[in-house]
Amino acid sequence: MAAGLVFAGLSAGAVVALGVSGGVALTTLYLLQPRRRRVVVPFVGLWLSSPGDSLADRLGRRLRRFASFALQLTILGLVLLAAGDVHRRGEQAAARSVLILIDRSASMQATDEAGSRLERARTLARQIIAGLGQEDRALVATFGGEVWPLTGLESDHGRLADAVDGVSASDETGDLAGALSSLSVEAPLLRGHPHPTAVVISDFAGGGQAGATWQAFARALGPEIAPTFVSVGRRRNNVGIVAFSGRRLSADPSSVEAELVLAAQSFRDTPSAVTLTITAGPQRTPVARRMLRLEAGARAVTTFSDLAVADDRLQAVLEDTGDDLALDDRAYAVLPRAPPVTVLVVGDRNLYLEGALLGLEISGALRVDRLPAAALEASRTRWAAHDVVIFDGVTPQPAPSAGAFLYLDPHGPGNPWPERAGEVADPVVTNVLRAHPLLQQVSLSDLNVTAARRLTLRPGDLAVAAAAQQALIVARSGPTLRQVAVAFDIKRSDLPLRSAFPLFIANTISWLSRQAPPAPLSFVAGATARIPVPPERGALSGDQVEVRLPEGRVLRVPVIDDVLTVSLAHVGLVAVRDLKGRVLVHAAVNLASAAESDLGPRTPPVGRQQQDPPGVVGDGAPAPTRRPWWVAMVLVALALALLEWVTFHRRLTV
Amino acid sequence: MPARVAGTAAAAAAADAGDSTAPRRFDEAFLRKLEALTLLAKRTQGGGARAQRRSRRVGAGIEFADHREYAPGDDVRALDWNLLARLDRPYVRLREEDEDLTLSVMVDSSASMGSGAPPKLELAVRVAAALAYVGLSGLDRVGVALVGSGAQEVLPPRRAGSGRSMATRIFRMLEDARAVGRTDLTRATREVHARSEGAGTRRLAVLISDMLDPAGSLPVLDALRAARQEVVLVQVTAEADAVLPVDGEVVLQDVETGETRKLTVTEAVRRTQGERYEALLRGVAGVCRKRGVSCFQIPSHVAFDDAVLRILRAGGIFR
Repeated sequence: MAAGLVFAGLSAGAVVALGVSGGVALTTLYLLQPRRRRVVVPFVGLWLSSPGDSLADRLGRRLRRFASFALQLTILGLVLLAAGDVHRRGEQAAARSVLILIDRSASMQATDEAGSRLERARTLARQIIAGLGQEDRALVATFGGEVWPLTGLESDHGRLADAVDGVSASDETGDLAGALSSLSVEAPLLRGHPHPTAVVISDFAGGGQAGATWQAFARALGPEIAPTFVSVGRRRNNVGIVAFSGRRLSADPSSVEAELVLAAQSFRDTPSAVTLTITAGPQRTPVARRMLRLEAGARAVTTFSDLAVADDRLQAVLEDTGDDLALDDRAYAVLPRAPPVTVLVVGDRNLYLEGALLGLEISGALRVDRLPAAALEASRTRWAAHDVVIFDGVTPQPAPSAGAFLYLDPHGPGNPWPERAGEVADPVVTNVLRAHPLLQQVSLSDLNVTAARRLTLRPGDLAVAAAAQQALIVARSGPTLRQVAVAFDIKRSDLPLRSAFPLFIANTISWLSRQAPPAPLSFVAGATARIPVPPERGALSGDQVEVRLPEGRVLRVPVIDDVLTVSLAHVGLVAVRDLKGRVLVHAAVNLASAAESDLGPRTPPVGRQQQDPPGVVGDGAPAPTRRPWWVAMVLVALALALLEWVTFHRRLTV
Repeated sequence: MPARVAGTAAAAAAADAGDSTAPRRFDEAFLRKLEALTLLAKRTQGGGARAQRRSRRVGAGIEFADHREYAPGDDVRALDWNLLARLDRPYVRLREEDEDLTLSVMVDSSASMGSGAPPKLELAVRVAAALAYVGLSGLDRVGVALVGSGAQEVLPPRRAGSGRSMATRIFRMLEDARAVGRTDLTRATREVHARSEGAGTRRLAVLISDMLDPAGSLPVLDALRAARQEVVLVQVTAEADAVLPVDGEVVLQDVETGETRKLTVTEAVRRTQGERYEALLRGVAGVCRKRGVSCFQIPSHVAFDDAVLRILRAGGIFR
């Protein structure tokens, strides 16, 4: 037995003892004459003086039997050495504790490697595991938005390989900083074991790659843990959508006008021409198409105004990209609907006004409360609770200092536009600011008004409509106060009889309410999303709702404080329904990460870097690995046994 | 109608001889073939005795056989005067001479006859039964004996109509024949001869054996000839006699004597052994030629009727 060999399986003593026993047994069997088979023949006289009994044949037979004996001794020796798992002493000292961290982020779906970058990473990880010795232990984990350990620190190569095979790509942005932070947490676990080693297999795309992150990571590992970074990815060839959003232009739920914004970026070193198609709804109805020309590395922001989109769910697709990452060639957006505007009408019954409001109220755009003129002062406490207050023929004293108010025929001491003496009889509209939001789609031509008050404007007031120098409709806007005044009694005009009147009321309410932008319904893949579920949709806090995720899974989660919290791992559209199946809200999930879309090969600034897996090739391996010699020994023994079998049955050795 | 009578008797004899539950050597198919063989055997009317076998020898029979030109020494009483008058050339009338045949069939039932596929004994007893049946149907005297180390069972020659059906007794004996015991054909044939009374103008002994006799074939043939018999040897052969089914180190054991021999079976041994067996067969045939003995070497897998036809067509038994 060579001094440089050690036995990891059966002990050397056991191997020697078994070898001696087996050798003695084989030798004994060899020395014993083989038992001849007995054959009954009709006449033995025929078989006398057989040539098989010649001296030469007997010697040949003995030689062949000796060869068979030697072959059997060799097989015994090989089997015993395999059972002893004999290997070089240096390999025994190479036992390591290896943390294998595999990137599963979206960029690992790139196909510039055979299969994908993730497939290449899995192959490298399997090679690392195959190169581990029996004393080596490894822990397999993946990182994307979060770090998921897939195994404990163990030496079962089969389970480790199974864990590697189970790593699947996600649509998340890789949070390498988070992963490295987690790795730092794991480091103390590794320190308790011999030769701690960390291997990160990634394309190093995505966030968290600042130099400080790497330096912190290296410090966290400590000097005794040598990290190794294995890069995958070969080229920078991608064009992707990095942002996509839209909004409705009107609070009116029946409105179909929308405005979309999309940002596409080239991550190539050459110019690109791609086709952008935007579709709506589950039927993928095309609503816009545009050719985009992108210079190398350039970003193009494309805006679509006044698009008629009936469905709230939009998908943007870049076609003919010919790039390596298909995931960011599509993006999703949901057009948020504004919540209903609360309106308080103070004044006596006005069927014209109520008619105009009723249409909006039925459509769900408004919630209207009404108080009589006598309750004007009492209503003061409720003004702040409403988005817009309409004073119909009444004027509070003092005038409010904050909020949004529409004064119809303001007059009296509280009038924000003090009236001058006298009225303007039968004013004729001469000046109209058609571009003002109050007059969108509104025509005031040939408007008949019996009489209008002479309102005094202040600096900053805007006469949206006027009869010569006399303002008929005035808009005033301030940081906390917005007011609109109609200088005449609408009941003494033909304005309520015109189709423009409900539009004017709707425009005015929309302008006054200055609705805050709806809660965002677009999220980044890999993030934990808080999706707002407005109570007016019928889902109350504590209710269970069903969430259908982009990958098709359906979850039941509770709504808490008008929000549900769910983890979104894949790009696509999310549908939230109540338990009766009614859609409550949709949400979009996108990659939306220029860093993740940039597939350019990167190398971290610290640690050992190599393209080949550690322990397989190269001098940069963290530790020499032990060759599974016992496998070769068993195979050779099997081959010799097969040879012996063939020679025996071919009567070559008997 | 002797053939039909004999055929009916054969069926009855086979039925009497057979065991209804055991596999029968002489089954319906065998009997049908036997009837056909009997029809193929040409017969002549009997002469002064009761034999019906016609002889090709020209003699004192009454049946005209042929003409041939007169030669000095011929009996002038045989001249065909009509032909002489017509052709002006002397011809003598040839007549077939009737003969009275005693047929003795000896079947080797030693243990070596049990080898082969099918066993040699099977063909031997069938051929013996067929020859005996054809002889009985020709009103010849027919005796059958099972021989091994001695005469194990002997049925002395009798005619078909003598006492209880001779065919029945022959069939029963052959039906029960088993391959056991050693081989000593010389002694056996002498014992058979001693137990068979001599009669008839011609005595014919048919020995059916594999001729695997330690003493060889010459002594037995001489013993048979010494009894003033014509001898016909039917040697049943089997490929298994010369081929071993195994390779390597073996111990050969003689099925009759129990004698053993060590042997290493190789291709060379197989080849040599085949040649030795062929030489044995050639040796038996040569001895027969020298002794004027008709010899038929028939493999055991040959159908018995084919074997019998071959024997009959070659002549020498029933003339």
